[in-house]
Amino acid sequence: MSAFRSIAPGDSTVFTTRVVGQGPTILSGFTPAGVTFGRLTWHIELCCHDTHELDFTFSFTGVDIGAAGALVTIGNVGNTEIFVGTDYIV
Amino acid sequence: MSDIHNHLGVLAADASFHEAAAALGAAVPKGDVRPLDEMLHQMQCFAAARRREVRLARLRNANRPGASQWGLRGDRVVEAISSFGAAVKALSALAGELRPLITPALDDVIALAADEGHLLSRGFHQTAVSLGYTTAEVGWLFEELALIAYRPVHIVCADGFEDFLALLDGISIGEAGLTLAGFVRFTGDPDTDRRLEKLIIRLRTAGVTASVFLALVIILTAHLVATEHSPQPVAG
Repeated sequence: MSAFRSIAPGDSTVFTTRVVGQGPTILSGFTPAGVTFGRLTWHIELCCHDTHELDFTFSFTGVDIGAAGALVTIGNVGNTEIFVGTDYIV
Repeated sequence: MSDIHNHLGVLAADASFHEAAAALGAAVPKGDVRPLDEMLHQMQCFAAARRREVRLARLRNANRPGASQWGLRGDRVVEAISSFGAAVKALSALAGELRPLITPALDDVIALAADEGHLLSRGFHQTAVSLGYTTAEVGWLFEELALIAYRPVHIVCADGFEDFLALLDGISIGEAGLTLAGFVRFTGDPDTDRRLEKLIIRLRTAGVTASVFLALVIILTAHLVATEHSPQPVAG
């Protein structure tokens, strides 16, 4: 698991995904203590990909964001800080 | 002379282009600017391999049996990566030579391509095709340009020209898969990657994907402006 990164509301961070054939890249995340809801978007930085949105309560794990070998941008579109990480360590 | 050269070469006679380029006269580099030929040639060498990889990826995604046997031979993959690497290197050299022109003022020229009938728009279209993009992908690239009102320099270079160089450094040449070529990956250099991350996020906020196509649009236009002002027409 990569180190979890803090993302403030309105901010984004960029991870690298696994290369095709190496299995999926798994995204996980959680909210800080005392915060219930988080909302994020993720987008693979390649041609013709959609932006995906994810709402979660306290934490989530096991979200498959695919294997493209490309960068993925994670944006915090909620109202509170969130922490996110992937299972792919470059 | 290639289709790209045909489309771009006649721009000098276009009044709207002439007027927009005239405003940049003082920024035209004094020295010679290398021709586009080498860069475009290398991109065209790469294009056939990319098209084949895109078709193959579609077959794999559709779980078509035996799709893998249609894959390129290893030597063809190496050749394609080498060609695209040479093209990106040529783009970086052009960026250095054209640097005085790569300012937000260049966007006034690029914005002429918002008119899909304009020769500049057709030249960009031909360039995207020459890179191996499919018709659907070319449509997507133009939608991306439209999202930033055909003004890429102001957003790519928001933190200075060094951001443009970081974009060029970050462009994948296909070493992790040919379908990744032209899109951005991290370089391993902390300073470059910090700039890249900020650039990618800035573009994503506008709904746009960082790619070689943005760099090409900027370089081609700057080169055309330099050619327009050159007493001795710049080859290519």
